[in-house]
Amino acid sequence: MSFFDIFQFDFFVRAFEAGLLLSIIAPLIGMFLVVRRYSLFADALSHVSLLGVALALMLKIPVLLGTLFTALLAAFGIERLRMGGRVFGEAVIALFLSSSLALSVVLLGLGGNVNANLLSYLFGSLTTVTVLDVVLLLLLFIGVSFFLLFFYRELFLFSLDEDLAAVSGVRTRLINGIFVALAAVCVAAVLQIVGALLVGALLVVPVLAAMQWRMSFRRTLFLAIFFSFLSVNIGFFAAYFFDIASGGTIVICTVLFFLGSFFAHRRI
Amino acid sequence: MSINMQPLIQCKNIFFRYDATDVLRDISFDVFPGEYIGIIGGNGSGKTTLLKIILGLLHPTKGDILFFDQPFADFHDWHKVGYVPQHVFRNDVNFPATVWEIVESGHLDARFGEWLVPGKKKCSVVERSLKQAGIEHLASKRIGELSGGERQRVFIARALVSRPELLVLDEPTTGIDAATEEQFYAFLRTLNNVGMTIILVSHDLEAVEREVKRVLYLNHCVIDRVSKKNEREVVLNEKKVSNI
Ligand SMILES: Nc1ncnc2c1ncn2[C@@H]1O[C@H](COP(=O)(O)OP(=O)(O)O)[C@@H](O)[C@H]1O
Ligand SMILES: [Mg+2]
Repeated sequence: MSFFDIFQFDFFVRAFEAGLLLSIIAPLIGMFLVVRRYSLFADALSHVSLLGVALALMLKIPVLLGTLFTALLAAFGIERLRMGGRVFGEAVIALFLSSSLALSVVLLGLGGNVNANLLSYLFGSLTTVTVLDVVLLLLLFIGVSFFLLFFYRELFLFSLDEDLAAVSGVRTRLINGIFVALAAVCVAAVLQIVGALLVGALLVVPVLAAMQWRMSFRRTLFLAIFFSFLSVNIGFFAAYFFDIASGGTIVICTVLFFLGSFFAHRRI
Repeated sequence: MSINMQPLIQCKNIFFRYDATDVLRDISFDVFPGEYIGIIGGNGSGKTTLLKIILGLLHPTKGDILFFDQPFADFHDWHKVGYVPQHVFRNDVNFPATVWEIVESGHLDARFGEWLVPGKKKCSVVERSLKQAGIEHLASKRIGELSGGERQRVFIARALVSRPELLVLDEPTTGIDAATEEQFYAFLRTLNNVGMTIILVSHDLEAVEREVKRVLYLNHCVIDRVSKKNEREVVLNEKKVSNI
């Protein structure tokens, strides 16, 4: 079978489209999470989304609805607690991450015959990408692009220092609210492709790799997109041709980019 | 000397407490256009808290503030305000941003997608600010590579980008050597001489009393003394800040 023959399969075309979109969206969101020292936010949301999967399977509603709902709810819950200032941001994340994972494991256990399904949500699977997923990712891509085109400066300043942002006239609550919502939708949308355990890595590792080059914010952002784009593509094809898990392969690629960047920069 | 004495900031009977501890009690004062005010007090006396209240970052437990003659809810001209927070950027050496990008962030005149390719006007505004603060040569450096004093200047340059009428500085000379500090105060003097209102918070009694025209002494939650400088006349210059 030649290289291009695989595009005959509908599921692969869908997975490929989804991958392209997600490889651009993920570092755009991840960049701002990393510089705000909020890298684990996506991980917390992905674990909560797993709870959404469990609930959706039990209630027999579309899984995407479950993940979107729980991810959004958790995102604003976490922000609420963090801003209340009674618990450290980091601790809030740990709280959500472990409690939701525990709950979903129990729920899925009660459900009985869902273990195989659970595995695909934990580690991601190419074959489960639906047309609806691709459409959602496209909408998300448009949303994130417009948000950044309009509010890049506001978001940058907000990430640098929240007080400075407020005194410069940034509507910090609004900007943060939109950003958090986009992050939640992003996590829910890519959960089935990369898997709950690896979503966080996809958002964060390309950014960390790009940051090793010690460039400006904008260039770091574009380099992160470049790394993520390559990783997703290499991961997809490798996963298909060698029949290995796509999510894992993609994340390994991003980690390789990180290691390469880390050592390359040291020598310069 | 023209006196159109509509205060820039009016604080009326401000109270503030964190949980159970009183931080500010019944603070009242006005800041007039063109003034150079120092707020002095020991560590933990509430200086930073007072500044944050003045800037609308914290809400007083009791009392009213008029900022440019408006309550904060109605105030939108934030480009008129430059703020240099205390300890800004103390430990985030890996933050991936250049000096240029940070200075540029001082003016949010964002047009759609403009950040991708900054326009000529934007560039010249940033360059002017970098020059004013004496850090043109650092423009493409990353913020994490700079010394404490250099970083301080970056955030002052950032505060000046929008040509503010009011400049608020929270302990700007911490960690700066004596010679640089001298230069820094001279720089603030030139800004004030062309009409910029400056509020300077510090615990360095000597320097502030020397430099500033009016000093508020913050002590145990209240302003217990106000001193005015008589040697130097309070000149309110009509010249615009842009003529520096
Ligand atoms: N977030 C906070 N929560 C509780 N107390 C605080 C907080 N920030 C400051 N304080 C207390 O308020 C008082 C004034 O602090 P601050 O305004 O930072 O003083 P200064 O700037 O003069 O050193 C201090 O006693 C400090 O302990
Ligand atoms: Mg202070």
